[in-house]
Amino acid sequence: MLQTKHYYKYICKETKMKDIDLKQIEQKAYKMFFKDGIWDITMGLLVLSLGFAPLLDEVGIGRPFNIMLVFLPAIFFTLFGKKIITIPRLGLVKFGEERKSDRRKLIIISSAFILVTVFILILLKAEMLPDGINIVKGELTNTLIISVLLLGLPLCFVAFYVDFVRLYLYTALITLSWPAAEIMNSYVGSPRDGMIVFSISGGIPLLIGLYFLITFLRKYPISAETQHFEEKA
Amino acid sequence: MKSRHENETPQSTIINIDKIIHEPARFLILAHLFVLESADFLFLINQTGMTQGNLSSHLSKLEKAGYIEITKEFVGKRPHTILKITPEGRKSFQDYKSTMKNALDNPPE
Repeated sequence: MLQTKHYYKYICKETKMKDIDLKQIEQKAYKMFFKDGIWDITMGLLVLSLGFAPLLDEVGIGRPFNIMLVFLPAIFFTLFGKKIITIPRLGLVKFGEERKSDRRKLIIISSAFILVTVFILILLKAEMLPDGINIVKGELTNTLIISVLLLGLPLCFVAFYVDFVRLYLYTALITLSWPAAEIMNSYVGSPRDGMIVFSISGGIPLLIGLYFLITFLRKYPISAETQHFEEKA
Repeated sequence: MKSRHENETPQSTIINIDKIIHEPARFLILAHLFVLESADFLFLINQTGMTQGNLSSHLSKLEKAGYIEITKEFVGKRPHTILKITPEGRKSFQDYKSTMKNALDNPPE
């Protein structure tokens, strides 16, 4: 009986079952994949490219090709960054059904937002918007409202479903960029207004991303041993 | 005649606990695989902080007990080990958790 009591106390002390939180384990594993800074750098590059796309306009590359061209670095970085930088250091993992369900909801909501945006842009182009909705360049309030509806809200949904907290900050920066560019326009004109504003709103996530990337590379170096361990496992 | 369950005391429940899962390292491995669909060897090394040899040894024991399945494949020319908890492993882990929770919440006097 005495031996059993001692054994029981030992097990309770050593195991510390109450401290194990499975939800925390899953969240920690999931959030590790945002510590490489790749999504931050991607956001930064995308926003920066919006500011510099008009420069290509001046050399004869108009819309939409100028935007497509400047988006390319961000797209390539995202596509290859995870494969070349993150996965060889962190490994591969498939998350559970809850995360998959969140992704599916995100795809549905994003698709709906894209459709609404395209619809509004078509109406704008065809000058078919109802009276009273005056989307005129220089109308700051309208720019802010459109920016919130077409950028702020969708990006907030993405941040929520992907569980990427820093994206809320980047969303605020991007959403405020358009009205800020409107204000800058009266001081420095176009295209400098966009270049200045988007350099700031794109530069911040880019710098944050670079910080995370450097920290990540230092914490998870690839050694020859790491590369070949599976052959021994 | 009393049934087996009526005869169980908190002490006997603890003594009969699943010792495969009870080992802290293996518990940690199963806790990770329980919340994920699958993970590879490198991921578990990073999450658990174990050495390669240590992790391999524990994975072998868990595989032998039928709690995980290990799939080896090639990505290009490099071997790649994928780990997944089995339904039996999932159930055993849940049972282990319940047992320990009951034991901690209702300690013997």
